[in-house]
Amino acid sequence: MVTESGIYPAVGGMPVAENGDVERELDVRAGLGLFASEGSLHQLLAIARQIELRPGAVLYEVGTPVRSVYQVTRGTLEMRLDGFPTWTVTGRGTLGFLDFMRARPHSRTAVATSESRILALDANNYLEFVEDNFEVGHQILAQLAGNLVEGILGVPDPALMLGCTIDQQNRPRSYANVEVSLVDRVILLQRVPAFATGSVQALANLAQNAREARYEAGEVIVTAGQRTDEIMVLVGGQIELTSPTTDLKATRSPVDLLAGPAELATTARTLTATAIRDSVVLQIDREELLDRIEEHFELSQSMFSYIATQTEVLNNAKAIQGKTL
Amino acid sequence: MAMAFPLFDVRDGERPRVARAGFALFAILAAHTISETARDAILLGSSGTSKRLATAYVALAVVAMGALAINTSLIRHLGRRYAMIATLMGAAFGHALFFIVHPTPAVAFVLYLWTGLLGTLVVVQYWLLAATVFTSTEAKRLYGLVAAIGALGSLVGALAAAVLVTFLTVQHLLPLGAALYLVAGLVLSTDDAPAAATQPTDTSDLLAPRTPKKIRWRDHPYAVRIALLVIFATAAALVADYLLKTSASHAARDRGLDLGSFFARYNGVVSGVSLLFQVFGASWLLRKTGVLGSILMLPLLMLGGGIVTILTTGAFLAAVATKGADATLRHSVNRVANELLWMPVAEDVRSAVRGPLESVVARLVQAATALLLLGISTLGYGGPVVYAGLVVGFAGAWVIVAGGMRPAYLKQLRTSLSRPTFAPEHELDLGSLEIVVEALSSTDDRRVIAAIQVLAAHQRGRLIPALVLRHDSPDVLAVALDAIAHKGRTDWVALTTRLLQAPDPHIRIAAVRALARAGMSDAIQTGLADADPSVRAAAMFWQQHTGARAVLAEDPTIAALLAATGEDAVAARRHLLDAIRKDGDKRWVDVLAQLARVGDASTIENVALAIERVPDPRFVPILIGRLSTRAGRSSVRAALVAIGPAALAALADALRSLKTAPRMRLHIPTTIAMFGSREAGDILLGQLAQERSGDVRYRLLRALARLAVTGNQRFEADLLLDELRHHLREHFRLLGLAVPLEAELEREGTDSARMLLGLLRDKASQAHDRVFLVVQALHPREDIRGIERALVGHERSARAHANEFLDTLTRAPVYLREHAAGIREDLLLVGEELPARERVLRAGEASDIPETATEAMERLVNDIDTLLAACAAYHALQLNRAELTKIVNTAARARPVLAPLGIVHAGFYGG
Repeated sequence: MVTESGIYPAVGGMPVAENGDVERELDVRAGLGLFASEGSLHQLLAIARQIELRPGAVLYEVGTPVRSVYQVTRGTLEMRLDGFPTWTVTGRGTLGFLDFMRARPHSRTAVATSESRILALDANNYLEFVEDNFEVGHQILAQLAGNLVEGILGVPDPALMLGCTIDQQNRPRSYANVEVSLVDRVILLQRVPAFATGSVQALANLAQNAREARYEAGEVIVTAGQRTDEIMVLVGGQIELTSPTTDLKATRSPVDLLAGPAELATTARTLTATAIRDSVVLQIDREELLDRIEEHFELSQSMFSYIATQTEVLNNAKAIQGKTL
Repeated sequence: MAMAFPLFDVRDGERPRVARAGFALFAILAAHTISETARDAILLGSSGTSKRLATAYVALAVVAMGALAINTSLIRHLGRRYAMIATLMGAAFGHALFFIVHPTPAVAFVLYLWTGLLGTLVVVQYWLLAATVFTSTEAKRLYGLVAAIGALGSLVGALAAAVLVTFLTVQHLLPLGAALYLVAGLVLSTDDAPAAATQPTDTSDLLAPRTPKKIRWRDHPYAVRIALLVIFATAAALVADYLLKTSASHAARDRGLDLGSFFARYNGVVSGVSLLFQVFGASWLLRKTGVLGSILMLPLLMLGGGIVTILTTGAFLAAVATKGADATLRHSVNRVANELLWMPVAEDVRSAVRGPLESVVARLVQAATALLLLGISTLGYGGPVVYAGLVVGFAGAWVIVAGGMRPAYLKQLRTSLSRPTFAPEHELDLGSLEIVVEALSSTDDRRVIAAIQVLAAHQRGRLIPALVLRHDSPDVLAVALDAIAHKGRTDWVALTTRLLQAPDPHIRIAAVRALARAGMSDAIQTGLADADPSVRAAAMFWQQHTGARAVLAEDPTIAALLAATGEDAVAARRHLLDAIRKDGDKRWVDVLAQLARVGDASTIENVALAIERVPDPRFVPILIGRLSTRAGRSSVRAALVAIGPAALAALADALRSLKTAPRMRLHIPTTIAMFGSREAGDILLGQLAQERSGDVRYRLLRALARLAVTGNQRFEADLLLDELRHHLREHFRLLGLAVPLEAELEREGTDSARMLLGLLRDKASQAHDRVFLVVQALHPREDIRGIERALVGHERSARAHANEFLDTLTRAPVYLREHAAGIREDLLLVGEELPARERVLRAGEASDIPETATEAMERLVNDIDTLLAACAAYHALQLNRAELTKIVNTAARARPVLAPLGIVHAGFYGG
């Protein structure tokens, strides 16, 4: 049983009692309004619907197109997929975002397991909201990246998620003795999973303004606790990520973000990156990246998609541990 | 792209839908024409025609109400398609019955009602069904063809009737009509696909309301306008019909005119003319004059016909021509244009409004008009000139309504494309207040903060209990202090004084501020004695601020803070700046200037924020320097705007100077736009004419579009039209270049192929974006961004409405200038759903499409855009083909700049 309230006629619902509207406003402000100004909050309020679900109600089924994204404000839902661990989502947890960010149909079936209340946002309108309020979008992205890193460090073997090896088929050429040309930079940035679906023009702009840094084996590239204004892309060599507080050691190879999702977070670094072979790193100013996102929203979508892919892996790891999302 | 018919633009995948719709309409209109011939001959052949006609119209209105209720129920239970099929089957059965029974005068009268009812119901149902199958853009292209096939049906029906009545009685036409209705039903039943507009998409449809919305006419003024059109059109048509039929009846009585053969010939002629017009003129007319021009044609002709009839004192031919215009155009161009008028109306509104309007309301109008005619006739005032006068009156009103449709039509299209908006209510009812106040007690800090914000936003801050200041969370306390600590209530003072001892220095600072604002000097003294330098700095601000000193920079405590070093001093200065930002005035300008001089990178951000409150021309260089940094940029911009003309002049200089750092220049155009003045527009337009950097040009266009919208500025149209033409040209050029390469690059799938293809698409898309930015600058009051989004979005109906909006918008006078020649057509092509090759060809830029992939590569390698040329050269060398290598070598010798960009690595050795 699904009931809906708090929607304005333009979106297709019925006028509801004032109580429903104010409940919705409270939920939107508390759940989604973290980075939003009063003006952008009104945009969210215009596209947010409040839905009450009874236990057993199916919110959406696997394989159906993503029309809305959801945030749980009360109660618990399960996201089920045969053969995979079930994800349990509770207060402020989200549903549908990962599929939406990865531009695919729902990959799981969402079922309420208790009396639940959720906020539903029309997916296309939400995308437009993020595009119109890209500062908010960027803050959401940075927070998601930060949460992801924190989550990864909380699983039993974070090195499995943080490490990556060279894809022999797509092994980049050696830049040991030559400067990385502009066109080569564009091609390399295209191979970075976080930028893979960004527009070539945006990547070219990033490539043009990126700095090339070379590190000898053993040299520390960035230290845990340090705050950096650059996003680093490893395009040659090999590096190791280590934690000052645990025995974590993860090896990363080109072409990828130097420290994985941590590059997209704005918090201080939690891991130290050290070159274990002579390495080449492209350093992109965060300001430059933000300027490009402002002009090329697909770049932002590409990074959201990357975060979604990583989060999905993390969710499975959490589900195996029996944790809620 | 397939052009199935030379006169109609039917595209791949559309043919089955068009054929099904066309053949069904063919059979329906053929059946209707044949039935009309039979019923007119039967009814008009008997005596008392005038009275019978008037009675028939009244009776039809009554019957239509019942039929509409049945029809609505049918649609609800069977769906639109099957309701239509059921109606057609019923029509066939009814016709067969009328053939069997003896044609007494009563039967003739009922037959008249039956065919009249079907003529309304079936046609309305048919077009409502069509509106769910075609989008408005498709409808604009395809309805002409569908209507032409329908007109052919009318012609064939009329010819068949004319031939058959020469050797059969008119009653024998009825079984033929029945058979044709049956055929129409069978044709429609072959389509098993659900109608596009009603196809369910996913389980989120569960969220749609379960009970249909109640539609109120007053909520839909556009539909009211269409209703007026229908009312005047119906009345005008009926009077014209009456004019013809009474004239024909008199001619039969006075001159022995054979009514059966006259009506058969008459119907044949008007059907033929209608068909000819539909095939050769309707699409052209729609293209040239648009929907709004096309709906004017019929009323204008009827108006003219009525006037001529009056001037010729009721000549029979003039009466025939007046009704002929109606019969010729009503089911062709007028029908198509009217159907297109309905397209932007939401499906639920359309369904709820059209049925009653076109069956019941139209019949009631017919009844009222018939009674009027009957009255005139009974009183002895009847005659062709009087009836023609009525035609002139109704057609004139019709012209006035149709001629004034443009604003309403554009508004309706805007509404159909607009995004949902939220209207904040300022009054919360008791139930809502209970909920919000209850939320203040939540254990969830974010919900408590949300509740405080809701009350503050709804001007009910007084309902926030001061006890919330005992909350544990610093975040809640900070928000609560801002919302509660105001003059006019005192309950917060004691609790806030307690917060002067809170462990978190941020809360202590907030408490000092709140109490100092309320004039509690003790709080300032407590703050000055605080162990934390930031709290002391905030207290120091209030000490000075509430003092009498005019030049605050000379105060020794301030001077000491400015001279201090170390992290604590930096933090203290930051809090002093924060205090100036929130409560400072002009007396703080000198302090601010000194803070700007001594501040480090982190302090500078706070300086920028503070300057917004106390703007001064001295800060202009500092602020412009800060534009390249995102943090605080909006405050920097606001501060520059607050400073005024001096800042604008400095920004203009910085924009023009090539010495300005590139990233800083990028952000100057938007800053200039925020001034919202004519001068700002002149600076932006002037720079656009000479700017060489593509990035800055893009920002200039964005700034102009923004200035147009927010400042409601109008710019020199010719300059913008030149810009528009340039970007349209660039868009088609890039599309053309990609045509021979797309398939090959996708097949190759290498990194360099992906890069080149992606870059080409991005460049074309960028030109597309720029086109719409210029259009926005040309039309400040329109949401052109929303139109662009709809055009590139996934929703078919939104794309169609956006196209129609652009079509209507670009009929504005600015596009009629000589300077704008061809721009409108190219602009509409940008939004057309056509393959790239077809679009480029239709834009008349065939030379933009290289004949071979090699030629395309050669053009790209030599492209003026260095990045595109370098990427193309890189890819060409990767392909390792002699002819391409030669092309690259030649290009690189001519443009040495290409080599370091990448082609050295791809295999170019400078030879």
